[in-house]
Amino acid sequence: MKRSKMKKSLMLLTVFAMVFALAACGGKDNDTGNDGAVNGSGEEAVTIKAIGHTTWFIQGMEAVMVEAKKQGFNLEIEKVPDGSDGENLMKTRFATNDKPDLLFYQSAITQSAGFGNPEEVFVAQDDQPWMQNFDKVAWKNLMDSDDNLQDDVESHWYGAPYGGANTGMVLYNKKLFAELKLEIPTNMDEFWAVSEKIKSAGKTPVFLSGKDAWTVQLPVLMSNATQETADLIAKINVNQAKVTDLEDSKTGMKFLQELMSKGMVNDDVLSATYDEAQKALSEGEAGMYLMATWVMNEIVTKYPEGVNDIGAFIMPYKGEGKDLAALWQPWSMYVVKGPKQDAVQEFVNWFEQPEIQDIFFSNQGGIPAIKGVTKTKLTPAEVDAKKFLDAGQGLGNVPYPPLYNYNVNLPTLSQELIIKGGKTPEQVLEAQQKELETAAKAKGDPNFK
Amino acid sequence: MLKKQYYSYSLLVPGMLIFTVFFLVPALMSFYFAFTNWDASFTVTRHVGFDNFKTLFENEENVLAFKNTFIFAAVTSFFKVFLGLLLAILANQMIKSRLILRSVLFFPVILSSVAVALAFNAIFHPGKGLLNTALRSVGLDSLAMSWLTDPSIVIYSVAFVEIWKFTGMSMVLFLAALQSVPQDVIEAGKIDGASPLKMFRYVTLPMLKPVLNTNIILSVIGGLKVFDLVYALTGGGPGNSSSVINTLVYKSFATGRNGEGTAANLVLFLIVLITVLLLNKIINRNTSR
Amino acid sequence: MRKGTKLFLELIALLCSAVIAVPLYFIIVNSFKTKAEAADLSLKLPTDWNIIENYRNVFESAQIPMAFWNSLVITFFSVLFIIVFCSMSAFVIQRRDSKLTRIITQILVVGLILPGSIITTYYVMDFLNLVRTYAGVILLFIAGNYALMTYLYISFLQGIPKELDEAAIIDGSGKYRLFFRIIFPLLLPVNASVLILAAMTVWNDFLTPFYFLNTADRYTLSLAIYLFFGQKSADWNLVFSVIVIVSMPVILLYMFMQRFIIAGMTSGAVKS
Repeated sequence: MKRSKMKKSLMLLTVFAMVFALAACGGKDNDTGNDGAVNGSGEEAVTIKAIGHTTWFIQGMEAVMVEAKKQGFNLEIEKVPDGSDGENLMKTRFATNDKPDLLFYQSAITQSAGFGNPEEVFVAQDDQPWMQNFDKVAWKNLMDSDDNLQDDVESHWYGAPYGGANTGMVLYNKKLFAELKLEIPTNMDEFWAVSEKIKSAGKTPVFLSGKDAWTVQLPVLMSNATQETADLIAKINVNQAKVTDLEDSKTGMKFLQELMSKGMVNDDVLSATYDEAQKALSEGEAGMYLMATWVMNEIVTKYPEGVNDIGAFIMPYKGEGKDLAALWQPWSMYVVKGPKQDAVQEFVNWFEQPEIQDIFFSNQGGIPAIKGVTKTKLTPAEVDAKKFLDAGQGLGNVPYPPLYNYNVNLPTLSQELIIKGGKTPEQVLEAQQKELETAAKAKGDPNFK
Repeated sequence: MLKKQYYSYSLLVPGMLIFTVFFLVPALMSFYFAFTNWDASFTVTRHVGFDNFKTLFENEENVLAFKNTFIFAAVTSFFKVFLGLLLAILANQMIKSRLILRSVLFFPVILSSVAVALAFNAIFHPGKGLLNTALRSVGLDSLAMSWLTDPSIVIYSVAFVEIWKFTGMSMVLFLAALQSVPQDVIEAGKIDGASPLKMFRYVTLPMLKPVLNTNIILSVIGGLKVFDLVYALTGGGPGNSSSVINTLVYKSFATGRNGEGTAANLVLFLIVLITVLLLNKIINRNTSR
Repeated sequence: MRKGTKLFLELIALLCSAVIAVPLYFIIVNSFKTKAEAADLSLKLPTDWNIIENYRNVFESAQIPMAFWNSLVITFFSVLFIIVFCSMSAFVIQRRDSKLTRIITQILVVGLILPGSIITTYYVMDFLNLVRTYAGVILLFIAGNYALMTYLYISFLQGIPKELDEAAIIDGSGKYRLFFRIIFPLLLPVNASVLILAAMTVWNDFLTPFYFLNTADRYTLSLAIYLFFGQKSADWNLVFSVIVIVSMPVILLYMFMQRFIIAGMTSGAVKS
């Protein structure tokens, strides 16, 4: 009896010892992880903990990091995967108050982005020195945060631009166009005529990477870059118009369906990936691909021999030069409020200087948002795109900030437009309207009672 | 009463403690949020009653997800259990290839869903995929289909992959039970001259019953709760055509509608719970008879 | 068995194995090819064997050795505790028929069904200071597998007669001795199954380490692989090499454990 009792207590002890040993060594690990804050008395020793998507930190940032180290900035970037898994991870960190010091994320963050109320979480950049080299008017509605969207309340700027701006356009293979003696189409009739010729030459007129749903929405987003859409969104925000009124959106959706019905696309559209699109376009197997210029960064590394064959023009939905290039603002860096915010702000101010931006953009593509950047590394397609922007022919792909993001399901809905037994453009717009109403009601918006 | 002290509750403590703190409590805690407007920032400003559930069922795409889930669970459970049993019996015979069968069938179980999905994306490719190439080479062009992109068949293609992956698991469970059929009983049966079929009906099958029940219940639960494989194979697409409840939950969270996501989670939980209770009832009635 | 039947059964067994094996062969053979050749997605043998380059490329860009070690540590401790804790629990639950055990059985069924919740789990982990620790992730794996594995043990324990316990008690075994010396060894076949099932679940799971261990030097193999796919999805040869690397350890483990699963220990015990 005695023996068994001893054994029992020994057993229990062992179990608990194991559990606690595990828990204890866990605790220790956690402490060492945080020591940056403890030694943070001297400014030089502060470790800035940043978080962002893996693919955002390529050649440009690598070069800047080398310089930053020399300047005594100790930046530690935690790279999380692209896509919603990675986004969820970042949001989870903020929700549980396990925040980084610097956040790399999409621009124009609002409360609905999932990081909390920007006013409480991030340091406003309105009066920071780097703002002198930044065109507030041009980027209004694209990079500022305005949760109320009331005209009488000044919006705030929380994000400092990171990386370049991009435009959604028709990327085309210049070599193939030259071979077939094709001109850049200026209206839809010409567009279909060009497609017909490419098709009869045995190539793919327009590549559609249907497996990666997000790529299918690009033609729709491009059709949204109009002043009419901007005005409508302002009305939709207060329930005086409906998403179903967005005629320009419908144009893009109808275009997707016409591509399919006219057979102007690649085989097995729904199995084709973003990657395959890059290959087909750069090798001249496909004539055109409707995509934003960020794809050029990937083509540069993966299919470098084709980079110079690719050019860009604006999708001629309306024709007669009335169309605008759909603009994507740069990403942003957000200074998180906390004990290290001053040191982090110092880094941001340093980063946004034209000389440092020069380092960034001489190593990587993209159109800078900071004025005075002299060195860039643009591919021919991006040079084409920049020409349109410089001529003022650009507008946001979502041209006015929507209060409720009715586009969240646009990738799947766009796929629905091109599958057997899918949806009509009208049904897709209705689904988006429903999406918006649900979100508004959940918030308790009085306009949507 | 002497017995009780030999089955001491202290043996239960460590497992139950960890299970409660790290699984049960957080999982149950989340259901509270199904009745709120829990948003992308994980903040709650309002209690919305059953609004989240209402939006869930108003949406026709969500209804499709529920339908797909039931189809998937039914098809995969049936084949996993049925084929698993047949293969276990086969692998328990004194044949030379039984060792090959035992090893090879379990390999896919071990592979991660992501790996399997990648392989089958290649195999099911409509143009150059292995399956269609094979079908065309034997002249069955009409059978070569868009396995993962045709909305009307995609959920069955995904179900096939699940069956391919997990039949080995149900086979091994049956095999373990078959192995534990006492040898003397089998020998006694042989001496009595019982036919193999009779032996199976009156000796083996009753012994297999507990594992059969386990297998059915685990397959149904696994089928209703499927996520990884669907997500990795099709992402619920094209469009929403292969979405299941769990991809719906995932999408709700990914688009910042956390309240709706937890509501869908709660509905899934109730569906599985009711199904399991019903199944248990049916099984128990059959056993008591 | 007659010779004809036997031959027939052999054929069926080989056919079934082939259905399973072809996709596996497909993965392996394509991991040996060059990028261009693998893009054809065929079953042909490579004309240009690219084994060393592919695997070296993967090893370097996905930081395999470190991730491998992390996975090994986490899987080892998780599985060890799962086996010990779940079998202990199952023994009490199955053998003792009381109100408490009946309630616990119900809770286990609920646990099997209950969907996990990442956010609220994160709250708990954060509260206990366990985020980004090995211990935290191991505890989560134990908790996540507890219901299923205990359930498996319970259904197996039903096959072990209670008379055995009585005999042991009469022989003078204490309760821990009864479990660890008499019962636990009899559980070997199911232990082997649980081991392989738990090992593969833990080994392949990437969401748990993704949310709760996400620091660059603690990536597990599954997480490293997931990140790798995100970047190089177009290179099928590398994708397949990665699959082979990540799957190999569990496959080897299974081949090693297989004979224990098949040993059929219970029948022997009943006889004696």
